[in-house]
Amino acid sequence: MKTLKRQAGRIRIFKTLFVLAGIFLVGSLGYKYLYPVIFEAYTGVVNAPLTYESSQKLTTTEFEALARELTHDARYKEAVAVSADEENEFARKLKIQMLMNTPSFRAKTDYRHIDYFRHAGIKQYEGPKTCLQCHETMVVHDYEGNHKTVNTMDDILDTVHFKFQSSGRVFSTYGYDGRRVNADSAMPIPIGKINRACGVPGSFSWTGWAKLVEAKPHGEDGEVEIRSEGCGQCHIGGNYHPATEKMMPIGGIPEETKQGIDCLICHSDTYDMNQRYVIEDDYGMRWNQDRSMRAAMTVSWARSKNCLNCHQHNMGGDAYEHNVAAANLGYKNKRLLHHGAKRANPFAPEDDVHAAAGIICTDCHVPEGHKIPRGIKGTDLVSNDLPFKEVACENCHTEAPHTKSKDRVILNGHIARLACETCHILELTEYNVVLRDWVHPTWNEEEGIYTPTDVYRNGEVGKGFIYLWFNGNGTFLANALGNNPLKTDTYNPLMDQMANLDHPEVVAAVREAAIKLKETYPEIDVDDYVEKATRPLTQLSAKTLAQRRRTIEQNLTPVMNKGESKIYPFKLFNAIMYEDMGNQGPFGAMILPFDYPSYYETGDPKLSVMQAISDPIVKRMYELPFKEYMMDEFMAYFGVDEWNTTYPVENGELAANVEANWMRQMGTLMVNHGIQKDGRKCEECHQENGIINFVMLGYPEERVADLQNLPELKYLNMPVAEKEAMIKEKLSKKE
Amino acid sequence: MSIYFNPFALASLVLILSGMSGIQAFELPTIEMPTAETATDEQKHCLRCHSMQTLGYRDPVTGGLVNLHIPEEGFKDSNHQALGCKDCHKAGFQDYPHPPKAKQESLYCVDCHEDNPNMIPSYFAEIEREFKESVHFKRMPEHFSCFSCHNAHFFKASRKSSDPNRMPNREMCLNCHAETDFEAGGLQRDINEMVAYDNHICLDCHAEPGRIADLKSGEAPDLLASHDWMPNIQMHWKKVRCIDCHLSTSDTYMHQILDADQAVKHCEDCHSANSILLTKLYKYKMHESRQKYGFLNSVTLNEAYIIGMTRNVILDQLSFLIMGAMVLGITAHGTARWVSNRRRKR
Repeated sequence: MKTLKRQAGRIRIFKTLFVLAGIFLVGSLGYKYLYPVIFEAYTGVVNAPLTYESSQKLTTTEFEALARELTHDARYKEAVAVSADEENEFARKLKIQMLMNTPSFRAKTDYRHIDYFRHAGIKQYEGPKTCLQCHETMVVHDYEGNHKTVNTMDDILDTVHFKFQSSGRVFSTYGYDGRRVNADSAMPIPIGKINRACGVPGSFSWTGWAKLVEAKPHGEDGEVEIRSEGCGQCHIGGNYHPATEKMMPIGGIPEETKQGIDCLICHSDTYDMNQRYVIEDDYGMRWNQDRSMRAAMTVSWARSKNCLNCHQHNMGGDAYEHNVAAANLGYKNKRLLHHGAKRANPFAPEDDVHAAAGIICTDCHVPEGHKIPRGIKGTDLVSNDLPFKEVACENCHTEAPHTKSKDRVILNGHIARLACETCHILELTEYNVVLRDWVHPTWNEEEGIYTPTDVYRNGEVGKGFIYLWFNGNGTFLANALGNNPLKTDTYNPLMDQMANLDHPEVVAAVREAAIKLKETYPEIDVDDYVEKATRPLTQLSAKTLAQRRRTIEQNLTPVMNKGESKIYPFKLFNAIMYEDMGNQGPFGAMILPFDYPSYYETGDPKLSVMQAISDPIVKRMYELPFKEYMMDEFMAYFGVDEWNTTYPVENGELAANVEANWMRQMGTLMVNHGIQKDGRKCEECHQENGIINFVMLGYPEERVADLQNLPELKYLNMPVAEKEAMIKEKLSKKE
Repeated sequence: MSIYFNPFALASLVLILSGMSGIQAFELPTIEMPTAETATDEQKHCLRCHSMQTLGYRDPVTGGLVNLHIPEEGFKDSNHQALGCKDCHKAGFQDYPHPPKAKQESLYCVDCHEDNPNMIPSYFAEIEREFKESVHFKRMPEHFSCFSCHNAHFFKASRKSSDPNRMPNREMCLNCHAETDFEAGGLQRDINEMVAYDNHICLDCHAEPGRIADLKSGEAPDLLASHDWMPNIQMHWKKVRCIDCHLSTSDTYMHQILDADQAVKHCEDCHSANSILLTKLYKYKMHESRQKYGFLNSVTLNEAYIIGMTRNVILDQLSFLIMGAMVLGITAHGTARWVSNRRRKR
């Protein structure tokens, strides 16, 4: 009896185990094979094996010929540089020849991977697959002095450069509800360049990833030129969409997508930016890469020129004359240049003292593996791989950085209140775009497309950038937060500096631009246009304005008073775009993206918006799962109670509550490059009409008087003859 | 506003007249700043720059940072709060940038504080004598002055003099201090605060190996290692001043810092009824408090309990009594139970 019972028990246990194993098997198979299919169907994104034409197999002869050429070129370039100070031409020639044959010189300049490839028999570069043969793992050193070995692919997949967002507590940004983004929340949401609202590019990474545009530079009936456009040009992944999978709590990056990563754009000394253009295949559009053996054989550490392949785009701008990448627009489907620059603070030897001194990006942005720090301060919603790692002037310069000037002591005194950039960035480039009108496009004759109208561009102080208190934090729409350390209650940039462009020259220039726009768009009321563009708060009702003041006082003032504020320079930016007014608050409404091809080709912004929001992922955004997953939280940071899922299209047209509006305040972006050796002079700020408005910065009246009137300046600016006279007078008085 | 003439200007002029390039000579400028009417105005004028936290420069010889910041709060709270800047810094500081000659000024506390009827009568001559006998001055006279340890800009005396003959006249004190400062007879400061303030003076150098090494051009002694004979080092440093052990007990003016091997190293010197601490740190507090509250004073009983130093015999006896009573009680109870148990078994 007992044995029977025992046997039955055993059978039951086996049965349970069997069922559990079955569920596990089905679950994991489903997760592996079914989930990706469902995911792709739901979001509308596509993944497929990625191939590149430039990935060609070389014969041994071709390999050796290329090796000789590359080695010679690199050696020659270095020898010329070393011999540059030899004035006698013949002597210089001989010196170069000798260096070219000097063993230690050769060892220093040769590309090491040529030899590695020769021994490993590598004759074709096939992307990550080739690199990972040797670099499957790597050692990562952190700033605390620890090191660990990690899987290289996992390391790179987890960087901002690949995923463009983070769900972590990495932001120095506060929502208008007073909460630090993702830090004080029970439900962190994925945010970053991938999905944050921004009027500069006017687009959204899914709807503007890789597009081909038909340009007509030769007139309406002339030949059509196909141009490339889209956010993906600066993405290290080569696929058909941004890293959408990384937005979800489950699911991974498909293997074929991993193989699309472009290692060489950062790691090759000879990466050819002419290979960077949009290609179209059976699955859709994506960005081409340079996968040639030439690029692979010149692999090296990432240098400034690698970073600047993409980053000069938002530093100096595409039109900046020393932007090297912008000079190589593609062998076909040439990339479209964006003429207005986002930050306009270039990092190039011509315009930055550090670049001129040979300092490279990673000297200050010291990487940990593939993670690259961007510093702990920031106003924008760009994700941050190393949120606690400082990138700061003080890391190299001490708190007494002025060493030569006779005013060094007092200059050092300013460090407690002023950021280095405040005096050492004298101007931004002329391409600096301050006001951009997406709603009234202008025909660009040269490119043969309609482009948004830059109503105001200027790189000068007080016009293109201003000075604000900054404690390292920003709002959800990139407004610098901080307060006068005297903690006066008069500093309110969200009602003043960021909401008023009151420089008379700026207002006059905007008026002129509006009058010009009226020629194409007769419905424009010039006065009204200037008013709204330069004083965006006039767009708000009295009730919303009151709500705005209350929100600032209750939610933002405590954040503004945090930490230690210093005065920093901030680039100003505002744009008029279409907004979904069903989702609006006192600081703005949900911006609707534009579809690039239809915008550029037709100049019909409404049609372009319609096209962009018909993208499946935008539609999903207006559905319940996304609302619950992230949009409610997103809107809470935006200062709006909840996400209204009413899709803004009615009867095949944009809904009535889609309105064109300027953002309610200007965005303020940090500028940290374009550093000049010689900073500003005392009197540029310390006078009645100086470049720093001490009253607006919340100084009490008495202090303003002190700051505007330094008796010492009289002497410093006195001509020599006058000084002589002064001393003589003193002497005579003494006698 | 007085017309101020700077001898340095004369030097510049001589240079110009002697035919040197004018610009060269004027590299060292001499602008006369408006002179303040009152000490407060004068302070305000100078603090426009000197209240900047990072005002300073790197010394070209040592590479070290020379900070010229005067914390406004600390200064306004110091014994020198009522002085005008020029009361001490006499020559040339009206000019910007201050001429090098002005910066070579040598200030010495005793110059003002001794034989000066306008100053609070003090014992600076004795302090000076002791200081010259101290280990610091004896070993490295060239490196030590009053300002090596005391920052005149936020110097704050810990207490009044114990010698009634040296007590300053009340009117004079009230020039600088508020009446409330003298409640209970002395400058009232919390003992912990006093310990922290005084120890900071020593640790500012001794806890900074770099600074010590600079002076001795050798290895800096490890404070933790040299004090490891003492249990609870951190607690001691928090509650007792360095000078309580590193001064001789007969040292009245607290400036004759002893060599390390002469310092107090016996626990019972402090942890006893006759604690040397009562001649030092707790001297005045004790005195005052005992006058007011008698033997059950707060200082020795509560504020800083030190094993062995309580000195309240009644309390000691009382605790022995309670302990004896407890032992007796337990014994009695045990015996009673044992006896009753035996009876029950029978």
